[in-house]
Amino acid sequence: MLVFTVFTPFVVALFAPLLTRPLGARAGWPLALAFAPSLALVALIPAARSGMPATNSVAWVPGIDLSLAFRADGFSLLFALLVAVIGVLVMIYASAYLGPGERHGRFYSYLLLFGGAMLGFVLSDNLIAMFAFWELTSIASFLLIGFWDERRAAQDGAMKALLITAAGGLALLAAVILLSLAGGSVNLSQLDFAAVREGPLFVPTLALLLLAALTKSAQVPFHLWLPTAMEAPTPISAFLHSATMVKAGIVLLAKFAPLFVLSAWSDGLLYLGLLTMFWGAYSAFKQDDLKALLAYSTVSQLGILTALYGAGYPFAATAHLVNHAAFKAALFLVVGIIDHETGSRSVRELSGLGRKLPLTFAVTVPAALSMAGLPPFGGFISKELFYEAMLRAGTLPIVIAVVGSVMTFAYSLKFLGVFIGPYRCLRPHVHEAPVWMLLPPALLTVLVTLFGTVPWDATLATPMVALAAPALGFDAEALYLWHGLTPALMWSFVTWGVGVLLYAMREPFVNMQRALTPVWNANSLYYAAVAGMERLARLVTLNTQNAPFAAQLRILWGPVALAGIVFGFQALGAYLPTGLTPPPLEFLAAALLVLAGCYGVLVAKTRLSALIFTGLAGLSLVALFVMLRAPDLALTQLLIETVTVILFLSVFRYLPPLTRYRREARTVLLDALLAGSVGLAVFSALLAVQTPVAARIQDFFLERSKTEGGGYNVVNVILVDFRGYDTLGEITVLAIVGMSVYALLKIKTTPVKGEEHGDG
Amino acid sequence: MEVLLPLLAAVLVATGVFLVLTRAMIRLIIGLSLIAYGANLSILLAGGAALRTPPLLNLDGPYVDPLPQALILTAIVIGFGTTSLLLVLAVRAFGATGTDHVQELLEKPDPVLRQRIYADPERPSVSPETQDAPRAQGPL
Amino acid sequence: MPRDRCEEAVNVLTLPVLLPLFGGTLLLLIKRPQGRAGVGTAAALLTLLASCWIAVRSFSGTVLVTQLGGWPAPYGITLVADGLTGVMLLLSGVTGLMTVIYAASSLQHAPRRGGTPVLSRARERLGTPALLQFLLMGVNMSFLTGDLFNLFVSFEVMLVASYGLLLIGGELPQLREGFKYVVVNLVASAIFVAAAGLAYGLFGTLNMADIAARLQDVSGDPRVTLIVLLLALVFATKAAVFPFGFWLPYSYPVVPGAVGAFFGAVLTKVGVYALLRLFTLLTPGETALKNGLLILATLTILIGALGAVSQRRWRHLLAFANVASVGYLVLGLSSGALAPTLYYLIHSVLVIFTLFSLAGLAELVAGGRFGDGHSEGHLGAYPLLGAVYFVSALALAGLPPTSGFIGKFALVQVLLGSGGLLRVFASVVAVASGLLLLYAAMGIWRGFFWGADDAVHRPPLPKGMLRVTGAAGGLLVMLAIASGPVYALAERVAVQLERPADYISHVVPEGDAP
Repeated sequence: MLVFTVFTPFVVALFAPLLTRPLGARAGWPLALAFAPSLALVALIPAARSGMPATNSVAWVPGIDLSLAFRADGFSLLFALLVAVIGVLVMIYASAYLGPGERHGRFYSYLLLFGGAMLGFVLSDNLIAMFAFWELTSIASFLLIGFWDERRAAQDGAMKALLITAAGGLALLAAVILLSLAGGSVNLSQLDFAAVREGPLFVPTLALLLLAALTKSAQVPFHLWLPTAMEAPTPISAFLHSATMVKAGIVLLAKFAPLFVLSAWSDGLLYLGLLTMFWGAYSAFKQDDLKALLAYSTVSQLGILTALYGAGYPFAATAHLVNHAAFKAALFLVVGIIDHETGSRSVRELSGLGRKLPLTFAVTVPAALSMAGLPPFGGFISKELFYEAMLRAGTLPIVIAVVGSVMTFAYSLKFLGVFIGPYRCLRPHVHEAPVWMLLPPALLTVLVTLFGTVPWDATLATPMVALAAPALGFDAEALYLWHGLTPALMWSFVTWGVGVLLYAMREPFVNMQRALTPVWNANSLYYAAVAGMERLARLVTLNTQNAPFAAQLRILWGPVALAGIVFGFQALGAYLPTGLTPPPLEFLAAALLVLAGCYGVLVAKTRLSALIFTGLAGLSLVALFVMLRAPDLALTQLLIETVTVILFLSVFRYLPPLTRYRREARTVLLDALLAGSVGLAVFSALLAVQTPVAARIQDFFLERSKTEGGGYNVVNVILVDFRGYDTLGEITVLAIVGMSVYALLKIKTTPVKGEEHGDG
Repeated sequence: MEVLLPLLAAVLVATGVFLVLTRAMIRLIIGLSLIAYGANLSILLAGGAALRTPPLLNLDGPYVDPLPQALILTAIVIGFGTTSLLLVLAVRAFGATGTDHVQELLEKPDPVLRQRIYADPERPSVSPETQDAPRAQGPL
Repeated sequence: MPRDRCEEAVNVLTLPVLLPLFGGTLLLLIKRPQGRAGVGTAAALLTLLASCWIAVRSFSGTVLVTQLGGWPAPYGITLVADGLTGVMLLLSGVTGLMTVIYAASSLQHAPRRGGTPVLSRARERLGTPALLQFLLMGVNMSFLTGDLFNLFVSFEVMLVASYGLLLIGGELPQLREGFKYVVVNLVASAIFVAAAGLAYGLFGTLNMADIAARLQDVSGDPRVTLIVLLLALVFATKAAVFPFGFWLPYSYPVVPGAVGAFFGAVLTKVGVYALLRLFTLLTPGETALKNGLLILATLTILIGALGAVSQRRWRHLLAFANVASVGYLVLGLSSGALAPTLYYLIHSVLVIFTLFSLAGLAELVAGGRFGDGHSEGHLGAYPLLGAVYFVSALALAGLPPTSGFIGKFALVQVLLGSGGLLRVFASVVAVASGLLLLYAAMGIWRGFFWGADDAVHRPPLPKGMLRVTGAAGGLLVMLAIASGPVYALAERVAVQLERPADYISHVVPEGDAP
């Protein structure tokens, strides 16, 4: 059941283009059915409530403990249903939102890909699979942000989101491995949190885990990717970048809360969340673009969630999570309508739209007021819970919370401002959006209202939040609209009062904000980091890859030289034969000739003399072979030597005279040392292997050569029989060389365009 | 003799290595030949060169080890093949670039392979002029 | 015990070598290009079938052995196929067949001369198809041989064929990079042949199993370390491990695109294969050397990933990415994480092959000589190519749900599990480099697939090239889906590698040893 639920969107995503070809944007309707199994998860609620969640598992890679194990506990179910409901609404909305010229197949495929990944993430019990789905959501988000890929800003936004969330994902990867090593299981439900906490690597584990959560959920200073992610089509922003994907980090915090709650980490998360909340609200108020306003608002609200889950108030957090998903998705969809109908999203260009778009206005009001935290909407209740929690947390937290909420109130009014006042719009004929664009936000708005109002004693949201209680280990309370004249309510009055004041003074305040904009911000840091990475990459590549060829060859000989130095002296002591007999005279003569040849090559001034000296060394080698009882070798060497010399002579016509390029003395010395060390390696190695560790296999050849190989010349028998396979390879090599030489000579080099032929 | 011959192999290889590191193409190729000589001699010596009878069974033993000789025969032929290929390649490369300085041969500005790698107009963060800096080696 | 099984396998083990040899020779005699395409494909297909047969047999846990000429090991040359050989043969067989089809198909589009992306007709006539077969032969020969000197010969067959493929066409970048490539490999070959000679001197045998058997008496001897060091240097150079891999990144892009995929996917992995053999069969010990290699591997990953970031062109970028993937492999084998290494090896071959073949197509689409990314917005016109690219790019960067993720995860799991500062650092680099590779790969995605589509003329793409690319991408996806069984196979092969005694006793049965 769970596996089917998660994989249906993936499978449907593959075939989406087949449906969009005949149906166009309307394919959203049938494709929304991909979420039907997820909606059917409602059936699992009783099991989750009883504390015996449904599980389902398919093995994938048993070797690394990776299985697609799903577990529908209350919290996961709640979130999965959220994904499914908003997913369906967004697809219906998109069927009317997308114009006929858009690439519908791509859109729905990506969207379903995301849906499946998100479902997989929240339902996964296996940590590795959870990580996999986590990264998949980032990948789907990348594709969706870059959906209008002709826009450079969309590409940049997509890349930024991908880099930041994928980097966080890599932290999660490491954290998952460390968790499973310390906690004794790769399954979240069987993870031993106490063992992890007491493990030696607890601090890095938790740090990596939090890094992942904070990047994904756009906490300061990683929030910078979220505003630019708004390049995505608006339904996408509603779905991914406000309601679901950005909450993945929050989900992670909630699920792993036992690791850090009631420790210093908890305080850190509290203040980081509050900072994000403040900064997001502050920035949101500054925006003229409605969508950007909502984006920063999302950052701010995610800060609230981080603070609440981080500081150990899962009840308040879950309540706010549900509320926020509903009102924020509704507001995004409204922005989509405004954009769709008026062609603009700017507060400066729009005003008094309520007259032309009364239905949209009606849909907007509850959602915006819920965001502002006004009764009787859901947002009010969860904001009260937030205040209560912050009052318990201390003075500083409640002060920041109130300041942030004042701005939240003010920007909510700013959002509503486009509907009231004198009518102003650039497009001449503005009319209501199609019904299928209005219905999804309307439905969400109804929910927002119901969350706050019906029934009066404990609202609709109560059972939903209670569903998560057993999984997150909190005691569910009822959510009341009215809960007496509490300190939290007092603070709410303050918030509204100052908020109205702030809204009234919006012009001078925003001007002040603009004046205070710092020269650098997180965004410029990001671009500096990317440029720095590129610069580093180029520098490293230039210095390793483009080093002079001679230097590269030196590196290649390096280990041999090193072996010569390290092993050589050691071996000289151990293996130098004692009781040396002076070598026979003919050997001495041959040796002198070899040395003369080598010396001659080194000092040769012309290529002919160099060739002659090489030949001298080669011919002395022939003599040595004769003396060393290797007649076949001598013959072959002689033959090859002759042919090589002829070959050299024949191509000399096409080669330059022997140039001696002057080098620094240091280089020459270094090269000589290197060459000497290599020689030392050869010398010492040859001395060292004179006594084999076991008898050499030579006797076999000598015994069988005549009887079984049918030849007196053992070397020849080895070549054609014992090791005939080598000879086959050897002949092939010669054949290939022949072919290649022919081909090389045959084709004329086409000069590359722009190539300087220089002095040749 | 037990020391002299290994010493010879070592000298051949060392001379070869030194020549390979100098920059003229012909010297490099000759260096490779010398290294091959040294390597071949090494195989023979490593297999225990002894002044016994050559491995021809119509003569009387004891014989020297025939296997290294067979190996060297194979290696010589293969080495000959590859050296000839390199020689022809050198001729073509010299013909195309007009230089026998190995570094210059490899480094001559090649608009396709080297220079434009970083000079993508869409990526202003990457400046083409830094690219040549570390390679101001030239023929010394 | 294994005697009669050996006899049964006698001829089959030679087939992956002999079939391409015959195929290549035949190709030299055929006049018509269509005929050449047919024969080449047939030879590659037959090779693949033989490889499959061997692979399936070897996966059952037996070690298939053929004593060539009937001479018992260690006197003759022994062909051995264990699980690792099976995996490698399968990979080279599949990619070999795909390369042959891809190359033949690219001719439909070929200009008469010049042009790196596709194979020009002139190049084809000068023997590229035959060279490709010989390359395949050399590669398979390296995987199958159980003899150290024969491994040298196999390497030479493979390398000389690769010289030919790299140089045919004789364009300036080819000559330049070819010169570097040939010189580096000649140096490495000289070291290899000397090391083989020294090994014979010390151990008195060339059969690798026999060496391994004799090695047990002298473990810890510095002479052994010296020989192992030399061999490791050679193999690391072929595998392009930093700092010995400088020859690779600029040379692969000049190989004709049709063949470049095979270079990237398989050729470097032969070095990795040899390192795997060296460090499992010949040197179970040598911790210092392994730690040194581990550090180099970590640096290789970093250099490869940074190199990829520094590049803007597909094939240059891919060549660097290939270096990084070699780094992951060497990191795995030097840290003893054999099962992840084997899995990652399969993944790496497929992903590099897919991306290189996509690069060939992209160059056709862009029409530029090297497809230098000044042509954008192609996702609309080629959505399937885009999908294949996107999936492969994720796989390259090691992001889920691709095989790259599974391989990298398994590797890091082992590294972090075994502890030690060095390994923790290596895993940090391994994980962080994924982000660099992602950035680099998405740069191409932005530069080629995204953007405003202003193409006036779209060339029709050859069907064979498209099919091969699609098939490679399909295999990559299949690998991710079937990761369970594939990883289990990797574990079985790893267990086999960790117990070299089994390999040794199959090749040199106790009774016959001198």
